[in-house]
Amino acid sequence: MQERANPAFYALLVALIFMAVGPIFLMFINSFKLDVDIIGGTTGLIFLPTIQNYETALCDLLWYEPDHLDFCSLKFGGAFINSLIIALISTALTLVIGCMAAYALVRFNFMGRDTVSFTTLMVRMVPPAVLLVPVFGLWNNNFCIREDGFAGMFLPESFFGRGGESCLVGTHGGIILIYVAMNLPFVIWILQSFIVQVPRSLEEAARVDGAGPFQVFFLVVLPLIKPGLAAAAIFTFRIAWNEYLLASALSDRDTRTVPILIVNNMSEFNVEWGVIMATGMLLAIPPIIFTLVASRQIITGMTAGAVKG
Amino acid sequence: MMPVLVVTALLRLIDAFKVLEVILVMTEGGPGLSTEIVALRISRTATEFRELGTAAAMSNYLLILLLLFTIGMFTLTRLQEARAKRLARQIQEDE
Repeated sequence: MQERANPAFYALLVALIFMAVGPIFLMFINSFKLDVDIIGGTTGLIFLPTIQNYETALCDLLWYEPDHLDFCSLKFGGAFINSLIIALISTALTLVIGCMAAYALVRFNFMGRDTVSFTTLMVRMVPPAVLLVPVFGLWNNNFCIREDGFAGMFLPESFFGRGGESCLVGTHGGIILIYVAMNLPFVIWILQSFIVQVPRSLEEAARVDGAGPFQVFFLVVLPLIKPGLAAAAIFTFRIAWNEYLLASALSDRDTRTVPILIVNNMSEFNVEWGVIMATGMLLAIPPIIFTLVASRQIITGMTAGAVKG
Repeated sequence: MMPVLVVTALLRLIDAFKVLEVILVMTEGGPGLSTEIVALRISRTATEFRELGTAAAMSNYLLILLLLFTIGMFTLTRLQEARAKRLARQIQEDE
């Protein structure tokens, strides 16, 4: 007979679930309330639900003009597209570079291999706040294309702003670059442990059958480490989607991502809680979809083993 | 279990140094300076006060501190691996 669990165990479980789900539930409920209802102390679940907050948040994507707004100040749609572009491209780049680097670090013998492997782990410990100042300086002053320089000859004049130079700061590319650099050590670290598990004899068999080194990598090794790639993709996407500090320093008005938009929306005089909750709900949707899609890869990767039959 | 716990605790400690957004959004280091952490100080020095040099110096200090933690973590793992190996060899010799 199975031993009955202690009731205190269930109480603890309920408390933990409440702590984890409570804030999200509150955010969901509050996103359908007016600001008056949120602040007004009459707590509880009895209120008149309204989609006004969502209308305010999505005002630059709607086909009609909401009645309660006379001017669309919140550019959520643009920020959302910026976030999607930056997160997806940086995730793809990180995975492509990361899996190749991890493969090289595991399979090839070269001078300083252990040092490189060790250093990638060390870089993982650097907090974004440390990167803030040097990256801001480099992106602003050093990584620029001058109009009278070599590369400037091939570009149209409209490409350059004031001062005759165009810098990396305030572009999608600049933010993507720093996200790739930030996430690469982690991805390499994860994928290394997956590639080690791929049997070397499998690669040798493919080599005997006449596959080149690239074919071995793309057709044999990559399908086998698909679960690892999916896990790395989930982490990278999540970090790139949520990152605030570096994006706030490196983005300008046109490349602003959603977290910055939300924080900027909290001004000193008026915090529009309803709109913040609505944008928070919308912000939470893409990572959930991405995680669902990617975690399906993990499951299929597990069932499709290397040795069949 | 103990070695794993120590390494996990150190990893978590290093990760906790990275938490910035939560404090920045919720309290901005206030009331006063009571909830301010090093990373927040760095970002405020750089973005609010525009003292990039001071902020860079502060980030160097933070980097050195975290490097010490990291090196400590690695030496700990190495030591434990060596000890496990020695114990295994002793058991083999006894047999």
